Amino acid sequence: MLEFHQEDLGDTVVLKLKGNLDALTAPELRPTIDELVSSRRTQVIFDLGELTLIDSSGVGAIVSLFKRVRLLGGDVKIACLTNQPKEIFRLLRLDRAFELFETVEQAAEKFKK
Amino acid sequence: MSITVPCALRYRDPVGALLLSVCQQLEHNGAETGLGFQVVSAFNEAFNNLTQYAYEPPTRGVVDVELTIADSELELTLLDSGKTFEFETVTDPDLNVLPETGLGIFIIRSFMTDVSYEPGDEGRKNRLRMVRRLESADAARND
Repeated sequence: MLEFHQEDLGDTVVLKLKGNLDALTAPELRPTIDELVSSRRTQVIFDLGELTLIDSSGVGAIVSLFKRVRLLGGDVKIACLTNQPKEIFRLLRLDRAFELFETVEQAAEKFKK
Repeated sequence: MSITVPCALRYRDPVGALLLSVCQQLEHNGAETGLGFQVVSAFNEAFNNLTQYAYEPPTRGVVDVELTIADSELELTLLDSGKTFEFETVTDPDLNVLPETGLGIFIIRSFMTDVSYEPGDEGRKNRLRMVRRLESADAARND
């Protein structure tokens, strides 16, 4: 099961994910991703502090948004990565592609600089 | 430990939770930290593949999940009676281009020590065998 909540911090969008982002639930997130891109929201933070599990399908959803936002000149940052998702990010070297932050506030601050 | 479940995604996490619990007990007894997350990640990708490719709808087959633990290794085997899979021909993705698909087999191979696939034939199921060497947390830290 996946719960996600979208919050605006000025020009920055925070997507807070809770539960599993996987083959079963990633399709639920796709419309939100499409909407962010079509509305040209180019500063996105994923808050993954309560994400329990991610699989390759979940990674695909996040990477898809990352690539599309980058094409618009923006960026996607990752906050609060922990446990199994952290293992997956490390294995797939996503910790090199994405900027990782301990907190959402730190990630949001980076967008202001 | 052996458990048989329908080959559908909603049955993946109950089995994954069992595996995680077992592996975290092993971690508690001295196995390296992260073992559970890694084994469950490999299991999830293997199970995902079966739900996508093994059985053509409306056929609904089952997956047998077998877990064996020895002193030095953990063996996780998934058996199915669906279509065979060209496991050995799957190449590793180029992580530098941030692929959005094709990561599952790479995750399995990376998190498990030895992975082999035997296609089934009459009366014998397809068998994906994933072995993970068990290292102590101390040994893993010294690597």
